[in-house]
This record gives sequence, structure tokens and C-alpha cells, in this order.
Amino acid sequence: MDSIVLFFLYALTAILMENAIFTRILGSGQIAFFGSLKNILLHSCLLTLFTTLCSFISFFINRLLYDYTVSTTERAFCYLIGIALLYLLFYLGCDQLLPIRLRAVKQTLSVSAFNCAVLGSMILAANLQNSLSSTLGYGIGTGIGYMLALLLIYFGRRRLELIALPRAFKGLPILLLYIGLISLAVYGMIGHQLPT
Amino acid sequence: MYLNKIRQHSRRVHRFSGLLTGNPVLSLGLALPFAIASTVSLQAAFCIFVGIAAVTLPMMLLSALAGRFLPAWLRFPLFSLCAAGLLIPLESFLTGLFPVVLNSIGLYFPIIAVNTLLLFHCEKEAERGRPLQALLHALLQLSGLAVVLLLCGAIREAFGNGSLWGISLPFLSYRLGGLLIPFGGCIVAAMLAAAARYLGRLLRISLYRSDLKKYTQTLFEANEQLPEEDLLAGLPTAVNPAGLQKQPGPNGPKKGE
Repeated sequence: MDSIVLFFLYALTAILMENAIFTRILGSGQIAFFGSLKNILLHSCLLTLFTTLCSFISFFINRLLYDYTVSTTERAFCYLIGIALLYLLFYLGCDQLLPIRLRAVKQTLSVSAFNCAVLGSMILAANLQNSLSSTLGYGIGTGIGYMLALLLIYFGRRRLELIALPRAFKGLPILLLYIGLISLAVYGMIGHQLPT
Repeated sequence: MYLNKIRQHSRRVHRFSGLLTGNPVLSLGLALPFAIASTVSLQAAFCIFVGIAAVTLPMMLLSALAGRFLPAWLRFPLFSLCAAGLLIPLESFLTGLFPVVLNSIGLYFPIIAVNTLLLFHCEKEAERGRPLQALLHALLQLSGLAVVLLLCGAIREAFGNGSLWGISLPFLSYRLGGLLIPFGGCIVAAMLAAAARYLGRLLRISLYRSDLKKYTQTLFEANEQLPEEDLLAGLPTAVNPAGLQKQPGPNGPKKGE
């Protein structure tokens, strides 16, 4: 019962209070700002899959490194080995079993796997209670929060395109202002600066 | 039209893409987590820039030399792992110089290994396969990145903390705490992007106007004999409304004409 509560608690925290994009600006890139709805959904679904599976990997890597004093960068190197192995497994497995479907997702797969949000969530999960349910909840919550944030940015971008803006602010500048204001609202909800 | 100046400007800008235009952060939207969230001070911005530069230069050179021989699905994992490997000794080195700053940067230092600037450009250079051009391109992109990171760091530290490089500025008594959170970083980055776009457009318009002025002066010099009131007299009838006469239609002149 405690495991289930921890799972949902950390998932909700990762979705709302520690949203990857609005609190830490992780994973925001070209797909986030300039992609179509289909690309955004595909990218965020793949990212959610990777954050979920990588949270398993990070749990076991943390267990292995528990008795050693390692820096954050060394820990991140170990996580990256796990991400790379998972990516290769996914890629080669889909290449053998679903080659036609893989062709459509090939480009997005690498961007979704090697992403600041995936690696960042693994590093942040290392500071949690060190239980599998909390780490898994945080991983899934990061992915879902990322997807919801990208959808919010996409629909906001569509509305901003209809407004008469000064030419200098069209595109990336107004989108950054929009993200900044939502980030301020989330910060108001949390009440303090999150640790890095 | 001549458009000499604007053509020269376009060629120069294209050659120095990344520094003058095509800025990786402000135009392409790459490396935004570092520009927005981690540049809360000038020292932090400097450490982040050193980290990105230390991995981007060798990685882009490696991708230009060996990228063509690697399958596409292997490039991203390999580049990320090599970049993370380079970051480990660099972190130890920078921790010796800026221990508090590296601690405050936190997770933004290790995630340099998967930053979009590195992976996007390494993929491009792997397709091209020209090492010298890759090195030059990397230097230009890093110069553009340095300008943005250091400006963001300086502005946020000066107006958010009242200091610069850890040295307090007594003439800045009012502090805007909001600049030290990601909201402030987004605002500063947005303003810099808008300013860069505005200045670029201003420069192109001034070059275009100077080209247009030169062209119209040359046109007047060539047609010097024409009186000022009848500038269009020498031109063919079709474009001379004053000399235009109604031509009869295919069915002959209409009634009343």
C-alpha cells in the first residue's frame, strides 16, 4: 500500500510541481518549439517510454553505486551507458520485428532517448527515497508532465500566431515569454526554488 | 537592381553563421536549458560555457572525421558517451577552481553530454565529412553561444543579486529576485532574441535603402536630359500614363469615341 501511495505521490510531483519544462527547462528543443502536433505526440510518448524504463535502470545503478562515492558526472556517465543500451535494444528489436513502423519513428527515437529530460530525471531520481516505486513514479511523472507541457506550449503557440505582434517578437521570443509566465505560475504554486 | 551591399552582407553573414546570425540559442533554440536555467551568475555561465566548449570542439571534429563510417543509429549514443567521458575530468578541474558554483549548477553540468547543440551539429558534420569546416563552424557556434550565456549570466547576476563575478556592485541597490528563477531566464533570453532579430532587420533595411538610393541616383544621372516635371517622357507608352492614348478594341472604336 505504501509503495502505491509513494508511486502516485512522486508521479504527481513530477507532473505538476517539478515539471521538467516549466521548473527546470529540461528537454526543450526544436521539436518542442517548432514541431507539429503529430511530431510532438510521438516525441513525448517515446520520451515517456524512455523515462519509465530508464528509471528502472537508474534504480539498479544507484544500488550498485551505493557503497561508492561518485560525482554527479560519473553517475550520469553510468546512466548514459544504460540509456545507450536501452536505445540500441529498442532500435535493433524494432528493426527486426517492426521495420516499417520503425522507419517513421527513427529520427524521433534518437532525439527522445538522448534528451536532457531523460538524463535529468534519472539524476534527480537518485536523490529520492531510493525505493523502486518512488523512482518509477518519478520517471513516469516526468514523461507525462513533459507531454502535457509540450501540448500546452503547442496550443499556446497556435494562439500566439494569430495575434498581431511586433515583428521582432514573433516566433521564439514570444514563446519564451509564454513559457516564462507559466513557469512563474508554477513557481508561485511551489513557493521556493527547486534544488538542482 | 544592384543590391551590391545587401548581397555582400548576405555572403558575409552566411560565412559567419552562428556568430552574426543563426545564433544557436537565439535563432535555432538549441541549448536553452543552459541559457535559461543555469545562468544565474556570470561564473556559472562561464563554467557551463567551458563545459560545452570542451565537449563540442572534439566531438564535432570526431564526427567530421569518423561520422560517415558510423551507422546513423550508432552516432548519438557514441557522441553522448564520449562527451560524458570528457566531462568527468573537466568537472574535477572546475570543482577545484569554482567549488560553490559547480555545486549550484548541479545537474546542468552532466547533461551537457546530451545537449541539443552538440548532437544537432555533430549529426550535420557527420553527413558533410569536412574536418576543417567542422572546426570553424564549431568555433562560430561556440562564439555565438558564449555571447548569449555570458550576457544572460551578467544581466541576471547584476540585477538579481547586485554583484558581478562575485564582486558586489554598490550602485545597484535594488535587486530583482525574480531574475534568479527560470522565469527571469526566459524573460532575459526572450528579450535578447527579440533584440538580435530587430538589430539584424535594421541592418538589412539600412543596407537595402543605401542600395536603392545608389540605384535611383544612377538612374537620374543616366537620364539627365529629361526635365524634372516629365520624368516618364522617355519611357514607352505602355508605362507612361501621361502619353497613353486609348487604343481601339478588337471590334473597332466604341460609340461616342
